[in-house]
Amino acid sequence: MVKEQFRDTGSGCYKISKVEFTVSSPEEIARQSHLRVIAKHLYQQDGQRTPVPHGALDKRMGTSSNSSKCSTCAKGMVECVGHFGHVDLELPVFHCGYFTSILNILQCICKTCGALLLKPTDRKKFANLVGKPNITYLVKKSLRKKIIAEAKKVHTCLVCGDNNGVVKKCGMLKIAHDKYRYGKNGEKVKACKAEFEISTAAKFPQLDATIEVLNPLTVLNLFERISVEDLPFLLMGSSDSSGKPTDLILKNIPVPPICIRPSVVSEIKSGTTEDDITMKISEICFLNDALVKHKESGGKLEMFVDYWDCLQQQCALLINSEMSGIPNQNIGKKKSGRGFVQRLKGKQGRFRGNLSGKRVDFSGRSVISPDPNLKIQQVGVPIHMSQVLTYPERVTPHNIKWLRILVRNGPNRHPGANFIESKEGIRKYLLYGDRKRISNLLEYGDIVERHCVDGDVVLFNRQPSLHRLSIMCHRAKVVPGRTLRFNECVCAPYNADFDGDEMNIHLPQTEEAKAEALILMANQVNLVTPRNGELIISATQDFLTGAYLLTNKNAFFHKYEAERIIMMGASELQEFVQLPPPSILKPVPLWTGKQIISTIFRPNKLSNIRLNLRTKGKNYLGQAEEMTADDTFVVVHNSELLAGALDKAVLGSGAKSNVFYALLRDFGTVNCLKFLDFKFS
Amino acid sequence: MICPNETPEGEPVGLVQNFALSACISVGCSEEPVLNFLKDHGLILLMNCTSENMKGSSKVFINGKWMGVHPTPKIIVHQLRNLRRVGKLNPEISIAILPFSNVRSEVHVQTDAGRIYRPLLIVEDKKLKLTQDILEKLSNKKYSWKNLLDEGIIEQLDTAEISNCYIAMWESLLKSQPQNDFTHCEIHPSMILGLSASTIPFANHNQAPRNTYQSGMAKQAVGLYATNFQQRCDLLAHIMHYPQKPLTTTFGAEMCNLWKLPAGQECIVAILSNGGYNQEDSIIVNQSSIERGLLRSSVYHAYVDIENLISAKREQDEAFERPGKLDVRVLKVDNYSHLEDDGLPAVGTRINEREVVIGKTSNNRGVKKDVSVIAKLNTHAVVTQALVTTNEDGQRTHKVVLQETRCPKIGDKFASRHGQKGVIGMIYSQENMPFAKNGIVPDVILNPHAIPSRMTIGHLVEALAAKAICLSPDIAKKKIDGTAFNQPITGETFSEFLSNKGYHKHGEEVLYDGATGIKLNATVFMGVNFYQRLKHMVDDKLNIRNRGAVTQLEGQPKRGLTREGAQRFGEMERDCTISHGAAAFLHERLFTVSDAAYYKICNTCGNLVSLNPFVNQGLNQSAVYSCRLCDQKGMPSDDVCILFVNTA
Repeated sequence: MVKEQFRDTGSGCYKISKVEFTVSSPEEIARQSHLRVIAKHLYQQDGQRTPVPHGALDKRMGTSSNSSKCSTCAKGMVECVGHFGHVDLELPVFHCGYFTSILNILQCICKTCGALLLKPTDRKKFANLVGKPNITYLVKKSLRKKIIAEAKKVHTCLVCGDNNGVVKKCGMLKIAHDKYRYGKNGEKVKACKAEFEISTAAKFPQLDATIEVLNPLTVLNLFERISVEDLPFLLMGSSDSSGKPTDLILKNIPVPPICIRPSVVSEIKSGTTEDDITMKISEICFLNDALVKHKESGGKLEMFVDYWDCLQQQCALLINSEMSGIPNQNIGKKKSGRGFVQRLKGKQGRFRGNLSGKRVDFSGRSVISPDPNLKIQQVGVPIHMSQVLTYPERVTPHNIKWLRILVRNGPNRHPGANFIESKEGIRKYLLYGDRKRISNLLEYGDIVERHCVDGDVVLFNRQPSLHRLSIMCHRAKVVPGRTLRFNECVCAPYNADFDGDEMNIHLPQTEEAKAEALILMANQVNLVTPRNGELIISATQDFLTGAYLLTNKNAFFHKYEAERIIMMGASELQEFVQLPPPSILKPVPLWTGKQIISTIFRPNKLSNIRLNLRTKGKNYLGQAEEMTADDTFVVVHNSELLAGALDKAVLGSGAKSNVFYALLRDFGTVNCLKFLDFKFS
Repeated sequence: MICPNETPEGEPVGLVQNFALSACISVGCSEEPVLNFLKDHGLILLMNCTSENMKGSSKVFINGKWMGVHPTPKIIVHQLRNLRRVGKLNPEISIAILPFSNVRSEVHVQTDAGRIYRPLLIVEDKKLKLTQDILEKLSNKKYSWKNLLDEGIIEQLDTAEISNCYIAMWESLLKSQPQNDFTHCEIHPSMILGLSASTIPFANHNQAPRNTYQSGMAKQAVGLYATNFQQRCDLLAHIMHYPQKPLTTTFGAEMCNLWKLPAGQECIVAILSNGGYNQEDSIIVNQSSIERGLLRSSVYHAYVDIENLISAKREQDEAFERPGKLDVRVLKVDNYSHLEDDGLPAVGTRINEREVVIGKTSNNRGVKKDVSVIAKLNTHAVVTQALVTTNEDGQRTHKVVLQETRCPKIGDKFASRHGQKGVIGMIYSQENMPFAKNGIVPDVILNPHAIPSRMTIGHLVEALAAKAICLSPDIAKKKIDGTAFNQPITGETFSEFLSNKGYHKHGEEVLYDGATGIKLNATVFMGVNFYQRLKHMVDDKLNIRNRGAVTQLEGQPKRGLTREGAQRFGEMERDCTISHGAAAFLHERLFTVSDAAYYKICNTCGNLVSLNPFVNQGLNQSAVYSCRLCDQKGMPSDDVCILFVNTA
């Protein structure tokens, strides 16, 4: 069953070739934003809940309630795309995600003049490698490592001659440069001694001039002084869209649109619960404000530095709220708010929780119960479900008559329809309105959302879905009641039993999905487990016991009984059944159970099915093959069961020497399974 | 001390345990008497210890404190125990030599609170101290528990001291195994079971995990939780209409009056394979029995609402009333006619899903808003109570209790008392069920495949025992008891009762097929079992969605039955679909049918683009999109392409 490859014609349709992530510069952030966010308050005091202009909830960034419209594009909550804003920071701040990159770059350049710390020989060596276009990621990574390693060895700047020591992290988001300390042993240079003496001579004992803390402003200035020729050695981004090192430091923060951080109006008490990010943004605005006021009023230096530190921390918490090492975190609040990183990671995050797996429409769930009278391909769908799960069927000349009947039945009668969508896109709900008139106005090309009817393709699934057979395609059959039903033989792949298990059902909505489900995921294709090729859908429980008793040496049946059994079991064959001559002619014609089974395998002389099988039954002792007295060796010759009672080894799952397996391999038939519903009596 | 069977399934298995029936907790007493006795009888206090007297002596600990040493530990322990047996020491005190077999053992005396102990009969000279006349005095109420403790007939042993004892399970072992020197004897072996496990008759004939399942399911069974349920307004209550006390009960259950508020009914059970609807743990139930009230229950839901006075100025407050179309702007539902003027429906009104239960408006400066309470989904109930009261804060409260009758239907869950749970697979009417010659038709048909692998022989024994009790109640009741470890049960225990009344001595019956009338070739085991109805009912579990509410942030369908939520097509299901190779189906599930959306992006820079309203005011036809980043305002729309992407 090789499937032909589907080639998309792709007329007028672009395909995404790549997605690239880059660092955005402060100018870009300012350009894409629609407004500057300054105000620290969210709402005005007028009790109407109008947002403060230039605040974090300004309407120009979008809207999060059904009633109001976005000020920028005048669209409602659903259509508005959302517009960015930005906050201009008073003082620059490290971006917590790029911190290690900033550190690495600092290790490569001189901390006084910004020149690259590479010896001319090294520079030449790397210049070739760095200048190559289309460097792969891994090559870039190793190259960067080497450059950093070389740069760390250079202690005197080539341009200005100043000392450069070890650059390290010290505390949360702070960088320290130990000017006179290099190497692992930490030898102090003689020059250090000289400096020390100078400082003591000047009687400033507190000045520990050897370690300087590099604040973001200093680093920003440094990065701006890096010359253009030195930039490629830092290996930032691809050549055309590369970022500059100055971009790694935040001068302004983009404020995401309101649709990403909606506010929830609580019904019980008046007031809204704002999103964590909104709260953080307003805190950042508050700190900014405080810094501006301090600048103007000339406050103490320590307060200034405190506020700056606080600003740095808040900006980091905005991005990653679970940064370690920040004080005042666990005091008071039990659960810290969610930053951007927390939104993305983890099982409930965007990737695993909303992209790889999500909640879907047109699905249902109910308790399962058995139904041996359904074929294995069928699943019994309760009527309530079939009226809600609809399929959008296009009106064509072939089905217009039938769809008209469905439209007339409406949503409350099964089979019926719920909605009609005309070609222009107008939707009509069929509960109200004159359905007869609407059904007469149906045209080719309209879409009728009709109820699920017998024969519809549905997908049936039991969680946890451990192997691919946990989700299989079945044909729906509408049944009364409120449970999902299916034939018990299909329990095995789902690992389901009927002690209260629940299962999910999905109805594919598009023709392509339906076709794929039918061909690839159907039961017939999935009789065999991919694990080792054994049968997994096969006779179980009553079916097995019934078959064993039927094919016992003692089982003899009168004509009416034999016919009844065959009819009960074989009604799906829809073939002409020819009963073979009875095994016992006198005094009463009697057929054996084995003959009945043979008839089921091959109903009449014209049928092509010639099954051949010789296997051991479960209790076979290993001697004499078909002549054993206890009937445990099964021989089927040309679809006639000559010897042996059918038991678990022959009809059950997990064996390759199995009647169904042989049938499948040779003839692909599935009907056999249905027969063995029989009360043993 | 801890019930061996009662522990929850799932994550807390083994971590959450339950006490045995006979276990008690010590409350603590003074250690003075013990200390004084020891001091007078050879205890060398620690401060007086020298290396000389510590040689060959055992350490003595009282409540974990090392008090001193004693040269003859076994004798002193024996003396202390004798004191306890005559009542001079508190019976909760535990005196133990640990470790028992070691020569260098230590004496531990505990008098503190928080120890678990259980009572045992004392054995002396291979005989119980409990004699027949003491038993008579007990039954005449001349003796009490305290007497038993003070006369050395019963002793209370905690976990430390029990390791010093050799306990016989039955009194008969004392005679039949004279070579073992038993020190104690169990009062009754079934006392090791806890409360839930005591519901299980013939528990010692079942496989242990089955008893554990039953211990869990007994807590989910529907019965009578209180006799005043009609006056109470509980948020959710299940009541069985005709609860019955089981015919086979255990000693422990009787003592604890478990069956005064019973939780199930006796059903006639046949173990038969009938039409295949009872395979894989499901059961077939008799329609006519259900119509006569078998296992029928009701669910009571209470809806509670409070009249909030939000602000002191009374500008914003709520009022219970029937919201009218005239003064209220937006109404939640169409029909308020079944509410009376105070916002409550009359008792006996039928209320279905999405109808108003309590009418309430909220007045905000003259603007009225409808904040009524609406009935949940899948409700088809009748009002049984409508109550006006005040709550603890003095606010006016309205409570409405809705009652829904739940007849057993296909999909409801039932269980016997032996861990044989199952869902109803089919309901046949009485005419179609197999019948016996005397006209008895089974209520429940169980599949025989459920018995061999599960090994719940207790189920079969209970069937026979209850059948015997039904047939000859007086005699049978005296002799048959479901208590575990009580009497050895063989195939012949019940045969006499059954055959005397004309039934097959092993409980099998000859049945005739209901549909055809032909006699079934094999005899069928039929008995009487106690079935519990569990609170999992299919009406509460049916969950369907075509389209509906989505979450605000991600635009994906909401979760949860009550919110018309959708099923999750999770990572594992995505993996299965990938493994099948169904790419279009996966795209449909993860995009089309969940959070499909389209956005316009700029062709030059690839960023999202939005409509510029000020430019569009004049134009009607082609809308103008401006990409801010490219600084191109008024860019013609064909420089923009449409991206189909997920909202999340």
